[in-house]
Amino acid sequence: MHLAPAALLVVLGVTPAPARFDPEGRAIGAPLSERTASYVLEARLDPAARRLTGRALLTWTNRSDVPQRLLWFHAYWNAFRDPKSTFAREQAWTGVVRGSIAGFSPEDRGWMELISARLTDGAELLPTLRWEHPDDANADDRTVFTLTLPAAVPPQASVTLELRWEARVPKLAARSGEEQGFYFLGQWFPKLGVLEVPPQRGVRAPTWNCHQGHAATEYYADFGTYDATLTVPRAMVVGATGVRTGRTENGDGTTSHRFHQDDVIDFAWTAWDGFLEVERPFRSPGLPEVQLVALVPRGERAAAEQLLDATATMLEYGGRHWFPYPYPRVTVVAPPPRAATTAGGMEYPTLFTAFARSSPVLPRDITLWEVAMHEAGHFWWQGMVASNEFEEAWLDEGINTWGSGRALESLGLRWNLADLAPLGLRGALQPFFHSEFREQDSRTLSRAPRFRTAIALPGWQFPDASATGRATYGRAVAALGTLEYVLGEERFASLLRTYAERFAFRHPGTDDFLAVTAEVGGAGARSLGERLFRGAAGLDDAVRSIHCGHESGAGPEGPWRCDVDVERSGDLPLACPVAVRFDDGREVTEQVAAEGVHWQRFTYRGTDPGARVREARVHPGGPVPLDADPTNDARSREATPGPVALVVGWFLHAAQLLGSTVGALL
Amino acid sequence: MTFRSAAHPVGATLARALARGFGEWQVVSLLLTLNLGVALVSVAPVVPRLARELGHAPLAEGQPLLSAPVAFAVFAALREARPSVLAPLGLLAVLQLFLAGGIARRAWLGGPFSTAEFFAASGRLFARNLRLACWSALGLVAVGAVVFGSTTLLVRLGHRPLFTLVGWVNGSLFDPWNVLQLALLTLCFAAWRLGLESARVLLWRDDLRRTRLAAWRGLGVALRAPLALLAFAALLGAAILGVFLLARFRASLPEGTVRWAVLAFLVGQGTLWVRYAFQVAGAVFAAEQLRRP
Repeated sequence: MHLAPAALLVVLGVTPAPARFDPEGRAIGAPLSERTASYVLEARLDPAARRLTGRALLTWTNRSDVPQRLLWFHAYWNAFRDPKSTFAREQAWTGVVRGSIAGFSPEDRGWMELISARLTDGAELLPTLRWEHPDDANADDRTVFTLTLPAAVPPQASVTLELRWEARVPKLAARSGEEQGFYFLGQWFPKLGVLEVPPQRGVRAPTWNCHQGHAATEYYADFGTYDATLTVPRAMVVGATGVRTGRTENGDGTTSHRFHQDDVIDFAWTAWDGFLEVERPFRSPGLPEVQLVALVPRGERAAAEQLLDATATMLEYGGRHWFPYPYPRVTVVAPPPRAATTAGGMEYPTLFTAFARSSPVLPRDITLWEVAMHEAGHFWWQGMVASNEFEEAWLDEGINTWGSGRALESLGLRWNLADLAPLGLRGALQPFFHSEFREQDSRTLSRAPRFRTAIALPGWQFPDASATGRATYGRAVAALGTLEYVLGEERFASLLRTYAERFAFRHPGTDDFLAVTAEVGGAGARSLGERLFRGAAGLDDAVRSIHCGHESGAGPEGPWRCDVDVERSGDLPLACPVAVRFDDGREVTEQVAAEGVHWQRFTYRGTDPGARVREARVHPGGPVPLDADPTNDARSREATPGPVALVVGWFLHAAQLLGSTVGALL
Repeated sequence: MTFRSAAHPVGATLARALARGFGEWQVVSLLLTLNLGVALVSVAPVVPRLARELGHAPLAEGQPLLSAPVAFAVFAALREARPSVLAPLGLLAVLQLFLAGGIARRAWLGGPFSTAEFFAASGRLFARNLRLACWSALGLVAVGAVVFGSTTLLVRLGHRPLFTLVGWVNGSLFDPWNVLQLALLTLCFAAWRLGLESARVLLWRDDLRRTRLAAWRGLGVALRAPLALLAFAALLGAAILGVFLLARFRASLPEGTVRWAVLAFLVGQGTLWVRYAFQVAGAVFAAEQLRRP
């Protein structure tokens, strides 16, 4: 008996949701986004010369009510042009985030040069090109330029430009470039900035938001339709944003691959002759069907299967908790090992890069799953809920890390350091490094009683690159967790879902998030959110000491007195309950005021020894996620020698082994 | 037949060296005590901080070392430790070099242990052993160059050596190229170590003052008999394996209570005892090589 695939799914009880896009990536029904900036792209890659020649037909719609003559563009690859770019200077000054270009020889550098910019009537705009430096007045930076139109684009009208450019593909850095024949091409075309229109992200008048390429920031772009034709040598396997809609063999030994996707904010692609392609569908009741494709180094099929499993898990989690992933395809790219750290772990619409492993831990290798789920989570957080990654990176990195961490936790997946060892040593090293750190635990080092900066800050305004990372990821996760701690799990889930649904295919800001917070949790929650994301307040609530003794002058038979000292470091205004347990089993709960109290003593008296305090604990319901040191939340009167003996024992052993190793070298 | 007749004396020498190494309990105990003393000095600065953090911390009770409540307290304690926990290692290095003369004397002479003679030899040869260490450091640099060179070569050839991040995460211990590289490095290290041990014995036996000459002759001893070198490499491998297995056993003990911590401490001392017994065995093996015509 032959059953059509759809009928077979119904028989199996799997009823997918109606598709939002046709198999060619075109939206079915009303567009999901405003499609402000749409591109028809053509690119020819010449690996021998590491050159890329491109042509773009860009159609831009003026969403504002003010005529616009000036168009702002990004030319991201000029960040790799020389050591004078803002990107290079920041890398040298504040630290490297994704692959240093400091050691680049002139041949390693990359650039992008506009050859022509014409209107459909043939008018050439190239003479109007002006390099702009909106962030740091670095006249040597060439990552932002403007073009002036001969006539302003009226409100709600559109303009179409034909841009031609040439580029030298840089050596792989910051997720763009070439490494021994592997190409990953992100931010590879002249890309329009975003004309922000009131009330979008709090602007009061239409304003172009187009920042320079920075060392520690990512991107911001409008939604649109992308149709790209990519010509590469025939042996290369190509993966890209969207759905493959054509493949043409050319007579010159090249192949043109065509991809299309409506309603996305960016387009990235990869080409390499060493890819193995593994494909399978994702089907889940009530969610649209998605074709999953993994491109991994040949011979790493086991990793490909896990990457697809992880992606499917995140599509399921995001689809149930936020809103369904609407696009028909996901492409997961695992670069070859030598390019893993410079190209792996980056998100683009419908495509992300992850890591592969020749011999992954079975059945789930967290080193693959964590990255894959995190990057797949970005399909929502910035991919569709398209916040400004330059100015408010926490809105995507923080929320996404929180969400993908929860998804990992729902699978019971935890970090076991022993699993990082190579095959053949994992079992042997297991007793030394066996651990079960949750995703959230790994971010604990980002917490402090007081911080130097806010979380919601433009990426280049943090003191250094690692501070950007700590605030944007770990601290933002802890702050979101604290909001959840106050609101409760259900209301917080509702907050995120409401925020996601309301701002899908739009450009929300911190204010929008806080407005939804107020809607779900009230004015108090908003005020807490303000302190968490825009302030520098942290938290370390601790039971500092428990002291019990006979009342002064009462002698050994006299009444007992126990003092419990609670100390609050940090300014986060949060109520602080204190549970106090006595030797006779009684328990009382005290309260320390939410604000203005940094130290409070609770005193208990009694004649019976059973009235002595046994243990006290702040936040008895569990530690506040932002708490800098959850271990000091509780204190017992009696000593707990076990942990000290454990740690001192290990220190001693490690010092002895280290000493004997030094001895072996003398 | 030739192989058998040559292998037999080396095997016997190895067995004798092991028996002597494990029998020199006074020297081994001395080394162990020294190691423990320095380790205690290293750890002492962090104990008050740990006692403060974890001494009345019910949330840390019963938790393993690599758990959030304990690991982060440890991290904080290490970060704030002054002086650094690594600083006393310098002291250990000097003390070990001091004892090298005594160990060489024991390796050459054997017989009943005399504390006075042991320390006398140690003191007399201390300066020379310091100078010898400088010369032998050049050999160690050469071994490092072999590590670096072979790793670079393997990477260029498209392999994943374990000494790179990519190889550590993506490679395999069973990869024949990795096995080959590890074998090569073991041999190089064994040659360097056997040369050093031989040079130390030469300083004692011949009362050599020219340490460069001793280092050179020592290296000659290590390289002139390939079978002996292989045997010494096997001794080295056995030492690493023995220490690893004992340390693994220690690591697999339950954690969280004082009783288990005491047992872990004792197993740890056993591990180090075995480690130093192998070290003395290595010195005896070198002395035996010098006795050969």
